[in-house]
Amino acid sequence: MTQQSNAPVRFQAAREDQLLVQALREQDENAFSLVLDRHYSAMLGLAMVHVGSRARAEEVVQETWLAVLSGIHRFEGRSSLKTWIFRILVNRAKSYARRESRMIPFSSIGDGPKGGMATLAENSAAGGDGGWEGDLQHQTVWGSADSPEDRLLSTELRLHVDKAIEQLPAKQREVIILRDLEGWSPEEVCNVLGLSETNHRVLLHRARTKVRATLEQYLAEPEDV
Amino acid sequence: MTTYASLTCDDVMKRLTEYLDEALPPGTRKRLEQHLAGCAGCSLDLNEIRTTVSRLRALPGEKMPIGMKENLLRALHNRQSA
Repeated sequence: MTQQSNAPVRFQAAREDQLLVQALREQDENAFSLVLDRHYSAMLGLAMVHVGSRARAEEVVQETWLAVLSGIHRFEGRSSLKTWIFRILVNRAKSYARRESRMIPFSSIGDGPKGGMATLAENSAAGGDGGWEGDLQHQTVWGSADSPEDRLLSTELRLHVDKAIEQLPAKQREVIILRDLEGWSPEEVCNVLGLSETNHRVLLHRARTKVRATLEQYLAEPEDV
Repeated sequence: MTTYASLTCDDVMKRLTEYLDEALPPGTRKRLEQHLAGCAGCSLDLNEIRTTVSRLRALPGEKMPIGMKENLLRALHNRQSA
């Protein structure tokens, strides 16, 4: 896509940002509700890369929105509103992870591959916070598909995709969540994650290759085994 | 390793993401498409990556828990009355 053909899209996005920022400054509940819904899935996914469990990621998302509400009057529009919100999220998630890692008891160091910081898969298997019980409650809202059968298949596929993504290195996880699950543009991903276009594509290619292999394996499995 | 249009299969694999993003320079894009037209293996890889991306994209996203949304809307109102 050329720069020239991007211009109307950029203009429209900038105009929409201006209106949203204005509405948030005026504490418009409908506008706030709209941005909460629009960004929740990507925010949760990205936070989980850093903090490892759904419960902690939800806390980070909530803290981020409180920071957005406090800081919206200082937003200068040097980046898009979305980039600004997600940079706050990434910074908070990183701080949270650092804080948590300092609080890990010595006895748990070395328990797992991440030095005691359990991944979602580990938590799930152990039934810990953010584990299967919490996950399954959330999975019931994933189904936007029409029939109960579609919802079940969709939920099951999502579980496999999540497991495949959990196995990836953090940077690859961030990139594939934003690009492929959330449908962000390369530019948006690079702006939020501070990556070059080339680097982000290398990470994306590696992530897609691994997820593709896992999905193929899952989809090829006979149902009755 | 097959070479078509002066690109090896390895070259093509490294550039498929740029190709899918429509970020390749026109000359490279043309050579890559010529390679794909003559190489069944790379063409299959491209289709499988496209399928993977569209499957991922089609998965429903997560919805904010009602309790969290209520808390945040309350925070918005509290700011109003502060």
